[in-house]
Amino acid sequence: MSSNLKRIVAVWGAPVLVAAIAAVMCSRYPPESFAQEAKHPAAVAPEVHFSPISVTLPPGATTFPPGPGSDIANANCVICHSTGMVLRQPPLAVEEWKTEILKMRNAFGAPIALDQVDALAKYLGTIDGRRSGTQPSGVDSEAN
Amino acid sequence: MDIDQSEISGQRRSFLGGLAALGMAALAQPLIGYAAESDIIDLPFDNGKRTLTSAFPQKSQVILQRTRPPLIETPFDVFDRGVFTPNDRFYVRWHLPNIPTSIDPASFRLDIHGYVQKPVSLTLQDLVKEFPRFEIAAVNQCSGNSRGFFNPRVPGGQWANGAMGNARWTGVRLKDLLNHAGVRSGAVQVRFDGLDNGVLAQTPKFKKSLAIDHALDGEVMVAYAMNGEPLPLLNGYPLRLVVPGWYATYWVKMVHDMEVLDKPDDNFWTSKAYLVPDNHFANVHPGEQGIRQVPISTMLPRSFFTNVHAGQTIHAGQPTLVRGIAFGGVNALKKVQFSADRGAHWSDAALGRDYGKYSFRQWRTTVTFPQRGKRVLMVRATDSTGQVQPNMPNWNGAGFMRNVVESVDVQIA
Repeated sequence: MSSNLKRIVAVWGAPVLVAAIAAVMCSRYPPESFAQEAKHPAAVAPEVHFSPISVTLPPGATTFPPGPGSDIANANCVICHSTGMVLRQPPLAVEEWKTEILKMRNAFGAPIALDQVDALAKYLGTIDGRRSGTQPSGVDSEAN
Repeated sequence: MDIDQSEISGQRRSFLGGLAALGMAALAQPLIGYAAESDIIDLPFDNGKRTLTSAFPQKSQVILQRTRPPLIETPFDVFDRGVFTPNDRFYVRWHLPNIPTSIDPASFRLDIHGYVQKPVSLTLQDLVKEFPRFEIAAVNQCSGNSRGFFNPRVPGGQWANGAMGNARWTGVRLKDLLNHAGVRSGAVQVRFDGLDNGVLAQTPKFKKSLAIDHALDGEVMVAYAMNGEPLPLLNGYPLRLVVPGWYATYWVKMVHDMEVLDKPDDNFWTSKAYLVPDNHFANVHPGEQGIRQVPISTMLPRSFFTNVHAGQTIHAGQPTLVRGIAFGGVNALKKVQFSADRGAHWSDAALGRDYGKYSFRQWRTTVTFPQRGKRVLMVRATDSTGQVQPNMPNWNGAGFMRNVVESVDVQIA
């Protein structure tokens, strides 16, 4: 390539490219005032296409680690939620668990018999994986 | 000896057009990186081991907090890549387990009724074609974001700092929809209902209400797109409420029903749940009784490091880029300040492109540490009203509204 030609390309390359892009854009969006555009932005901005959607959600674990009281947890807690977040709580005192259980019962309708609340609170306060320094509890950490 | 503050470059450079330039700058400077992604992530609190999962539809490599109903967190390194949080990494929080898994956009209707002149039932095409398009960049943050850092610990979703995200929301102003139905004089609130349900009949339906003046403020909107795409199902496809500057509990997902009320909403989720102490920063002492509680509302300023993390080693004597994100909450972000000496001295950080008062904004500074040893780096945001992040963390029993100054311990070597 001659140096002359190189110079022409160097000088005119960018402006020509900009003009080409502008031409393509203008052919798609007819020029009009911003005020006009603002009146019907949907016609200017790209369309949003709504498609039918169907998905599958992971089911979540429904079995608590074995121990005295785990049957109560398995019968009541997992009606509405998987075990995972329970097992990821910080170490809570049995009394704090009792408060949580009564909230689930009174505010959300968990069908826990009143005479089972203490046993469930004790279970949740003592199950594996709840003390500091231990690994995640015996539950599958993949999908709970 | 403390480092010379002049070494901390706080010059306000414009960012040469934003994210692309930031990426280039990152390549040109000693980049402080994260460890490679693995399937396990350790959140920095007791019982904080979590799985990174791609098991949820339209989501990839997110932190599993609970499978059903879904509770998934955005890994924090995502926030270093730009101010807009990608849809497939955006956190998710549902209250009730029966979430529709199929949505037919052709038959979907948004109903507006109650204390209006003319109840209406709108299709998605009505929303797109019949109403002016509105777009806003806004942070969506869970009321309980960062709950895992509360001390003493409190029950609830044990989030680190990733129960938040920033997106461009596209849709229509709520004001235009309500005016279309004609709000009758004397209306006090609008109540929003989504398509999710509990399993048990006794479980209260998840509904939230906003004061009528707030609903008509011209910023609250119904979004049908998020970052230019239809919303992921778990973020509320096909429609979600967007309440800029307010905590995400009000941003009702899969919203399909709006009821204008002539008396205050007394349903569980509006009047009894999501309450905070009625004081600045929602702050009480553990065990304190008799504190007046009010519904949570507007967000506070926050700022974060995104390219530096606790325990990291930084080379002494080399200019090092330190950067992060910040937002003002309900007010605009005014400034972000950086401290390299545990808060003894602060200098203004440079701010990246402004996408609007409710958006994340990137901040950055360059610092050189001449001395080896341990350092505590801090960052704090101030909003347009002069409100600054507090030095001491707040505490409340629900684990809401954390916005303490962030700090990271680093090793200079």
